[in-house]
Amino acid sequence: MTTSMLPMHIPDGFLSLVVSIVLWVISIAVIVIALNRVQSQMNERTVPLMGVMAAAIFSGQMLNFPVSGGTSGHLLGAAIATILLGPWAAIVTITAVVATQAIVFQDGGLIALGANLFNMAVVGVAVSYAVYNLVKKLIKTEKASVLVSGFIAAWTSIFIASLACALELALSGTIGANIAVPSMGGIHAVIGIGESLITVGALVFILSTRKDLLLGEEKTTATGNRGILVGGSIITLALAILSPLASSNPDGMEWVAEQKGFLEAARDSFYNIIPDYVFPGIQSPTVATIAAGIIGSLIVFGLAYGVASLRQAKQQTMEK
Amino acid sequence: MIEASQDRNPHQHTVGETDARIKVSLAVFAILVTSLIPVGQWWIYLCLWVITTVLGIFLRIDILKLIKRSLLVLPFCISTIPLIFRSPVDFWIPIGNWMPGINLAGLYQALSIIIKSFISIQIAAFLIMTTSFGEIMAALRAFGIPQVLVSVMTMMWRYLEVILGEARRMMQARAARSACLAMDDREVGGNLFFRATVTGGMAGSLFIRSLERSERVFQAMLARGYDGELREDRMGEIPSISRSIGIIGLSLLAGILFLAYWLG
Repeated sequence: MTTSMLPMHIPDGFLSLVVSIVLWVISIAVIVIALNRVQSQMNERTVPLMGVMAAAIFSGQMLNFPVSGGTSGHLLGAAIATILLGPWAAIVTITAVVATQAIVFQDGGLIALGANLFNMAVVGVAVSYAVYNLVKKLIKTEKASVLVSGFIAAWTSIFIASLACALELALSGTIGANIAVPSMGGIHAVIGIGESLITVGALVFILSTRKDLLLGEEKTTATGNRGILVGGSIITLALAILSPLASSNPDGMEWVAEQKGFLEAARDSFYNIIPDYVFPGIQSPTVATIAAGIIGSLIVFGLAYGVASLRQAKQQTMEK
Repeated sequence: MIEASQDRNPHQHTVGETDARIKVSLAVFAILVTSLIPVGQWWIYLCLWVITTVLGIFLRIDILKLIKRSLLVLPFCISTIPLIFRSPVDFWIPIGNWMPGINLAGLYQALSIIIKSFISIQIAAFLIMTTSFGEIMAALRAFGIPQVLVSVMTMMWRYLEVILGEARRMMQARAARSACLAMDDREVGGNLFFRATVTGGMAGSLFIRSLERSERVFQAMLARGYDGELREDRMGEIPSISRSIGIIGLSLLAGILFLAYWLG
């Protein structure tokens, strides 16, 4: 049997009514803005382009690759949709996908649909857009800039959206933030790597066949998109900072283990680069957790940049 | 996956033929009522589940399929487990050498969340098994959902089968060429990085094909008189029988909610 890394759409019953309503309001506001922007940019092309691309994102989620032990990974698509279509069109496309999944396949609840739209269509796209554009500006080589920024945007979109989901569950009282944030963040940090690799694979293919879609018309850096660029940056920073703050309470399971005296039985791992997600040498636990998050992101960035540079150097040598 | 939407019973009873606007409203209200029922109201949960199931039997829906689809909630149930182990501990359960402490209120809360979620999915599955996608879209349009969004979703639905077929053929072709796991100690599909990037290449190919297809679809729409203006079939007035079913359903659900708070 194959266990797929399915996107975790929140079912009904897991979120409080207040959280659901607030997220519905935010999502509706953003989607209405996105619909107006898309219609003004594309006119009569909106419906066929968005409709067929939404079907492509939906079908793209079916393309999976075996990982190991009966598990498989697949594309979620917020980053690639944002890079290919631009942020507003990506919001509309992902909205159509997530709404259809909830209505037809019960993949995510109807009352919780606002939260799922917020996590995937709003946070996923805004974060992808902000990270893609900010990282792209740092790298001068055209091809490397697309690949490295695509890799980081894909990973960050998954990771930040999972933090948003964790905080929503915590605010609803379903699960403590001290458990939700590290577990959701941890699992999705790994899933994010799969998403990044697939996104880069897709970008490599598009660069070699339809370069114009990525390097031609700059649909992702238009001036009308500044709001979503700022919004995406704020969401990324806010969730990266708020999540460790929210999860700094003592862990419930650790408390039970401590009370029963089997906490000591838990063995440490062979190595501890950043033990307990807290950067060593910093007094304040909150600042130390945030520092650990930033260092972790920089390591991922460094790795991605290193891989891209190596590939570029190898290609240049081959061309000579 | 798309087959799941084709579980609709073609021989519907009059109740199943109720106006889609009424069915969508009732489904959303039923899920809302389920969400609002307080923790630990086991009899009320049972009552809601029995109503949905009996109605399903009455409408000749495959109940096993309905229950199977409700099991979609299971993976998310993991997130409720920590509620059971929170403090203060009410009793201990010995599991081998381990003695986890259970918090009774947390256990009730976790069970309530899971049951409510199970019932909610069953209600949503019930809706899609008695109403076509087109009818639901028409109902959403009648509720004021922007026409462009409804049209995008309808267009997506129309092309989903075609593009899913394309994705399936790509997977079949890949299975013949690469990206499989080791078989009989032979690495036939490269390492994880290779498999992931090959899947990415396939996704890229699928997106480019879809972009080009969307251009052809647009040309075909233009040829058939499309001018950017979306013309729609407006739904007529809600038939009186559907209205009566709506009023009965809403009253019943409101009664259940009142009873849940009165008992609580």
